[in-house]
Amino acid sequence: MDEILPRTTWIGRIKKAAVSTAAPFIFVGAVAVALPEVFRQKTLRLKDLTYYLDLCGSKSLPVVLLISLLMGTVLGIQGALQLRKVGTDIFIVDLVGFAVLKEFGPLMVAIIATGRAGSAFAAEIGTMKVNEEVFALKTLGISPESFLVLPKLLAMLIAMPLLTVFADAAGLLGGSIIGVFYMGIPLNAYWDRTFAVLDEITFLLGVLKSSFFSVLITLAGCYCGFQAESDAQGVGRGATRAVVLSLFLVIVADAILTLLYSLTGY
Amino acid sequence: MESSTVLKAEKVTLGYDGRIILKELDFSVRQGEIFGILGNSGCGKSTLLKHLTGIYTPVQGSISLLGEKLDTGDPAAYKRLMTRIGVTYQGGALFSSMTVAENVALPLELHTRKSKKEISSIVREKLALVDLADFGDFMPGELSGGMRKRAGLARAIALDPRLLFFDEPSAGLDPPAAAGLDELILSMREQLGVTVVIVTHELDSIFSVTDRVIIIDKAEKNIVAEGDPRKLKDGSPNQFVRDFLNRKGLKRSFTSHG
Repeated sequence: MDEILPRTTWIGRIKKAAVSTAAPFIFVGAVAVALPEVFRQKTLRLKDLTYYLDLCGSKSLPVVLLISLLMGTVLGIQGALQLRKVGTDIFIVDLVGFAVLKEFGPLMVAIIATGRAGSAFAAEIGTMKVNEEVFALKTLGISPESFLVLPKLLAMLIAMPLLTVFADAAGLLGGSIIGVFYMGIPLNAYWDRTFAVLDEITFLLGVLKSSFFSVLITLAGCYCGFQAESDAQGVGRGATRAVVLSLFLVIVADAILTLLYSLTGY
Repeated sequence: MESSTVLKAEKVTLGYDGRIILKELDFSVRQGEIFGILGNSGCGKSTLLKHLTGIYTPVQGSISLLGEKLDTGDPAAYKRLMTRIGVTYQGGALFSSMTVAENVALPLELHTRKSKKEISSIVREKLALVDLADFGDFMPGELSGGMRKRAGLARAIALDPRLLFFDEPSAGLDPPAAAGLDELILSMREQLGVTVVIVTHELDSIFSVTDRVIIIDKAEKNIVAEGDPRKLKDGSPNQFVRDFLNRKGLKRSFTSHG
């Protein structure tokens, strides 16, 4: 009885493939089940929450502002080059406004959050696995999903929509710099049109997208951490996988949400 | 299960990724004894410990702790059971983002309704027991290997468990520190009346603290001896057991087992 299920047999391979296919869903299920424990077992520590809010939020703010400002100017320049051909310069406001609020604001924040937080989550949990801290949690009767994932999830759910608001503002500012200084649109006219064409729903839809992205990035980062092999290289690979998986999920979710928004008239 | 039995493994087979590590293990641990799980490196001792503490599920067989089956499939029952046992790990497994005192306080905060003042008092008491009374505010990274193990022990005994597991308690420690930890294990039993299960291959620890041991042979993938290590040392009919306990047979260990 040396081998129960040899890896070389086709049954063994199918079982292994089924287990690895089911693993992400089992993980998401475990997180969902652990949610009430935050309140019942007091596993949410304020110290952890503030740490992750700082990591995902305040420490990301400068780079979010800078990148969003630049993205706004790039959008403005590209739009200006095309709109000038048909003499519709003023529509640069619409182009930049909708693109920033509905797409680029949430996306820029998601990309930065993936690089900063998603990979950090994977590396942190992977290292805890190496140090047997995850085992220690289990044998202390504490759910690792509740203790390790939920503070990160809550922090990301707070930080990313807030960052998106700042990203939106910076992106619009970037577009207005091009509109005013490159295309010669008067400053008042630019901002009057911005507030005329953009409504609260457009703004909120972008923020809602950001909330979805925050859940995906957190779950992908934590999942890759839990799945990381228990050695230094394994932790590195886990962090890399977290970034790739998060970006993939964010782009797929963005496509689906954009389609849904357009189907509902937004 | 007999009333004095706190751990019982019945026909337990361990394995992962399609491979059998140990097969059909049968043993039990009695109330109040210090029980050793011995064997050469890589024989599956630490894997067995992870099965005994419910981290992994055996391929076959069943494990009972304190009269309750481990693999009931009920996470709530498992968590309740875990509050009655303590586990210490090779490197201490302290949570690196918390101070030593916060580590020890964590199980008390999560599993009891004690006030902050009571918890603080218990933490001080447990840290004093492991001779770390002045290190509560230290971060785990600021402690030596031996201190981390002792801090891990303080956390493991925070809820006054009835059964305490140690994974390689002396590994990586200098001889005086290892001897100090052995004395600490003995004092745990005397002061707390706790049953102790130690996974180790350190012969000094085996002879100084354990009452009874099982010895696992990697080649057999099973227990090859059970009893008092002092009697087994020269009295076991199994050559591997005698060689192991007399520091002989390294060649066989490295060739036929590796």
